[in-house]
Amino acid sequence: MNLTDYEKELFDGVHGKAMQLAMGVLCDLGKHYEVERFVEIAACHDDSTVYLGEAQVAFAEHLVELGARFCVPTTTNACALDMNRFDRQKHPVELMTATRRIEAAHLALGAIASWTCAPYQAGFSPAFGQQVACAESNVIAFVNSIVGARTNRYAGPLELLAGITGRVPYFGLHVTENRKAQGLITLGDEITPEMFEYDDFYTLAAYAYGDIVGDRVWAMDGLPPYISMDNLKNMSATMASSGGIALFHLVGITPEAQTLEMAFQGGTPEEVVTLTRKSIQDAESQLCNGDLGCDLDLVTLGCPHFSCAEFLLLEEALGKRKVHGNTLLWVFTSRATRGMIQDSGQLHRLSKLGVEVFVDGCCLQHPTQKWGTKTFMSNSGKFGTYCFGMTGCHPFLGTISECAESAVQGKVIREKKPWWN
Amino acid sequence: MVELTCKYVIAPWETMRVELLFSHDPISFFGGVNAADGRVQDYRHGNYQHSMTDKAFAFPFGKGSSGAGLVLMEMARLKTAPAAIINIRTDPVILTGPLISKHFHDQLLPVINLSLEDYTRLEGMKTIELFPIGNTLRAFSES
Repeated sequence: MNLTDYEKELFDGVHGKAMQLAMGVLCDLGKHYEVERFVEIAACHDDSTVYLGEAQVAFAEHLVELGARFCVPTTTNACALDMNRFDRQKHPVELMTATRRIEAAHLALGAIASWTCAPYQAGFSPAFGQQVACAESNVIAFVNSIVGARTNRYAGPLELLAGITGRVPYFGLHVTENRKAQGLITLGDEITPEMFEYDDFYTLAAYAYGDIVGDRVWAMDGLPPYISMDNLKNMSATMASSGGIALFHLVGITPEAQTLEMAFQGGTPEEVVTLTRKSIQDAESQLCNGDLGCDLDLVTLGCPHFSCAEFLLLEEALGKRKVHGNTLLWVFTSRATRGMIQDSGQLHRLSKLGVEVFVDGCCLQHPTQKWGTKTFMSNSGKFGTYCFGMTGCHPFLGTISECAESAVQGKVIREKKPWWN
Repeated sequence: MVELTCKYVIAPWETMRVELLFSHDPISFFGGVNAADGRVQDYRHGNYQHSMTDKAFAFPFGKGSSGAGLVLMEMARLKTAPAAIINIRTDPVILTGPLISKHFHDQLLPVINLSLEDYTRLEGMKTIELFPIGNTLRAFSES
């Protein structure tokens, strides 16, 4: 790789051991992808925050001991639990201790304590075209696709090294040409506009997209331009779970695909796949399993973290009715969003109805055995994809309004959908 | 025995012969693999409930959560990690764990890339042999 004088100093250890080791890793990465140079980044999103084991904590503490410090604004992703209410969640104290060690190390590195997997809805979004380094699969897909900033899929803890050195190898989605769509998904005739009125349609279409497209860059045509930011958020999270999607284009919607021609950078699709009613049904069979009407233990919302707009939908759907005594309705959000709904009085109203709002943590880290949870319902395709692996239970999927209705009645309720037989 | 052309993204320090765990399905290490016992826990995956510990784990490419790097580092710590990773293409999510182990912990987890055509020739093979230099690997149908 061609290194600048400063980068050579970083590599040679002039600026300390942490910089030297970090540059060693990043240069090796660059070598693998045959990259010529580095590109400086404007921001970083740190996803090495949900406790996955001692190796992770030890690594962050090691970086601190080496004197490392982030040199670009770096936001923290969700961690495993609500740092102040972990006991209510029935998380073990050991997980809390480990999380506090993660917190201490990452804040010592100079991270912004955002603790959210939707930083782009909590005041931390890059600008269009900016080079950034993000970890967290939904954040990567969202900032690339919906914002039009540029990041590769950086895995924890690689993004820490990018944040510390302020640069990444200039390859992959940092480079304009690689952001062009290769293939196209179109909506078949059986996909009718009435389906667009159901929020779960977008989740199911996104699941099918990820399944078909895998880890490539493709475009999808035919979705309506009025699609909400929260549906775009859920689509990003779902595609990045069923597939390895880092960037997707929605023609007429996302910034690099205002036209079909833009999405393909003047070229044509190498492959076109039509999304059918069966694709939507197949996706639904992956994300929603079990008999409607069965008793419901937990409705879990906020994967990715719930937004202010979603809280409004939830409150409207509850319509002043209380959550059923046998069911829990948990919502996961950022400290920033909770601050806003607290100030507006909405948090108090929701709490009186039995809604429990948690911050910092991740809904996938559910202490299933301690609660004896058997049935889960959520509005999230990401939660739906990982639910079985993380909890051993198959999930139900529904819109926010169906989730609210189910929580009130204590059993799984769904409306008949136009894509059902 | 077949000899296949490959790219050593991270080559082993010495020649190694290990059991092969082959799959046509991409994997998410986060959520899809149990770090404690090295087994695949995603029921949708072709290797569901199989252990990858000390085997060469072949999957076409990574998918899903970017937590994979942390999971692989934890597997290295718990000694449940695969002995090598074989892909058609390796994205930074998969490469992170092996690269950080190499530079920060002086531990090597070899990563190998094969063409799509050669990758499919691994199906049904029992063991593979990897080399510290060169651009070939050997696959054997017997253990």
